[in-house]
Amino acid sequence: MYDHLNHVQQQFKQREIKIELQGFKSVYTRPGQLQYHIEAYNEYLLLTNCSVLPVGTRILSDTNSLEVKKGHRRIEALEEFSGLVSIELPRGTNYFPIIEFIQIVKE
Amino acid sequence: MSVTRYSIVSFWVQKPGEIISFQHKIPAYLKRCTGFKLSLVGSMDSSLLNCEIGRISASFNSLKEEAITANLIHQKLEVQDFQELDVHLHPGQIVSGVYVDAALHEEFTPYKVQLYLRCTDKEGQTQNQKGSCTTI
Repeated sequence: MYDHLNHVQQQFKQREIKIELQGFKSVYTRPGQLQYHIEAYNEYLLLTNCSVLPVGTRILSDTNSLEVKKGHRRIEALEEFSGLVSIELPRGTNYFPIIEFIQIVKE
Repeated sequence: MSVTRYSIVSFWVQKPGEIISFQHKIPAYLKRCTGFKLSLVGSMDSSLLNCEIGRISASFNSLKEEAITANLIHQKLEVQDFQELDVHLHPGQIVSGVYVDAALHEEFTPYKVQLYLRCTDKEGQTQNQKGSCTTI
């Protein structure tokens, strides 16, 4: 398994984006609520636990969007989101995970 | 004399709510991207002409510059000319982005989205100084 934090540092250096803060952000999902919104303006959220999300979960943002498919369980790549991030769990799910992101606040 | 080239990113949307990621390379001799335009190919129910069909975002220079975020509304696309951009292109770098279909209706017909990137080989050219135009 590759080192996520090392990868993040290297990639942001390549993109010439200076990091003010590197931390974590978690979204606690719960029964009765399928939609969640996070404001990530001027920052980046990198999804770290895509493999545990229910198939059909959609994460939409100003810069990237993702629908979780079965194949995502085997993928280690980090998906990056920025701006207004909207998370939609699939209807009928009975699994409510904690969704974890690496949070990067840029200078 | 400068030239203007139109670099086209196109993809088919096959199902409602589809999310399509794309990567595209603009020829290395082009120095600036001065505008973009979106177009749709495919038949569309008349009741949907004023609805948001989808949203697109794209970044230039291998994720260094997030330059395009736009929604697609059929009626607007027909009358809209190029929207202005002023992005200095680093040679050989990637334009990448994502398109999200916003369909909420049950009847869905596949359609094609085309993103036209208007680029020039001249550094610092303004919008009004267009050269000869060729589609590539």
